[in-house]
Amino acid sequence: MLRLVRAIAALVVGAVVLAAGTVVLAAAVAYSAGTVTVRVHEKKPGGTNLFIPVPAALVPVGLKFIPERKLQRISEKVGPWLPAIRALAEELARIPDATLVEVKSRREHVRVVKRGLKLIIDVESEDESIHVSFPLYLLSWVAMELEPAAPSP
Amino acid sequence: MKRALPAFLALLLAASTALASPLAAQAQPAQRWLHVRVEDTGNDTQTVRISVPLTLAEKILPAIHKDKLQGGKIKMGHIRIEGVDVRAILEAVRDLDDAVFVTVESDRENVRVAKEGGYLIVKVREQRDDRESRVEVRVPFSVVEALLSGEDDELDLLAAIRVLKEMGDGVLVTVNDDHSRVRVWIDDQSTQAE
Repeated sequence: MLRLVRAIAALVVGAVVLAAGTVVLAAAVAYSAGTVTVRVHEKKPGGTNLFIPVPAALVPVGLKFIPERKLQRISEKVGPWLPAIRALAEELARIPDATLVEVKSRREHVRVVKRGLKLIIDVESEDESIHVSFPLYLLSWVAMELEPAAPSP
Repeated sequence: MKRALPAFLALLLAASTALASPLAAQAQPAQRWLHVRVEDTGNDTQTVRISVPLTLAEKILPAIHKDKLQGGKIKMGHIRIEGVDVRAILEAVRDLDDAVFVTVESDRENVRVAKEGGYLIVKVREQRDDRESRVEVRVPFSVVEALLSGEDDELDLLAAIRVLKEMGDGVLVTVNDDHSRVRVWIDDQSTQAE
């Protein structure tokens, strides 16, 4: 009887360790994969202040929830550009940090910056500030997810 | 679940690529950057700055197969400007010594096309009322040749970029008129000086 209890206890402990290990591993992978950050600040009084940090690893998972038909439609539209998007992501990861695009006018300042392994888009206007940043390899993941559904060239 | 496994593998692959990239970046030779600056000095002053490493263009272009842009080449049909076969002219002047090929001088417009020190140089000065605009294009002849190295009806952008990568620093295009300034140049700096 004691043996049976011990065996069950060992099984339970094993299952808990396995589950905890999986959670820790998943968290580690999610953390190492970086974060997608969206920040919106409306400058008018009482304007919206939005800050959304999302683990990048969740984005491909999120794509799984898009209905197959819609995913197909998106893939058809962006399909011809997917190999270029993947090439872009791979090459951007290799180049040094830089401001790739900057548009500056009296009313607006837009910057697309490559910093580390992230692409950062900042829009500063009279009305609002928008900041979007995401890991470069997110582009590859999304392209990889959309490619099977895209029509072949 | 069927789609989850490739996603997980992609995740691991991307994470390992991310870790390897800084090491790979250290071993890279100096990048050549193509810079474009457009300054609009009209009513709504605006400045656009674009800086692109040539390696980026070199990697992306072959991956694009859309409409007339196919694998780094643009299908153009015959390259004619006002009835003049540009390819035929460039091929004709390719092996000639430095010379001025076209000179147009009028009250309103001065045009000069020449080959000087391995460069194709086009200068256009246009006068309208009180306004004057100047366009100067200075392209290494080897780049022009690379552009025209494909079939008769196409421009080989990829070949041109590969040649540009080997060139020294220099300004390729400048446009100055009363409300805008455009400058296109190449150097090994990732930033544009103010």
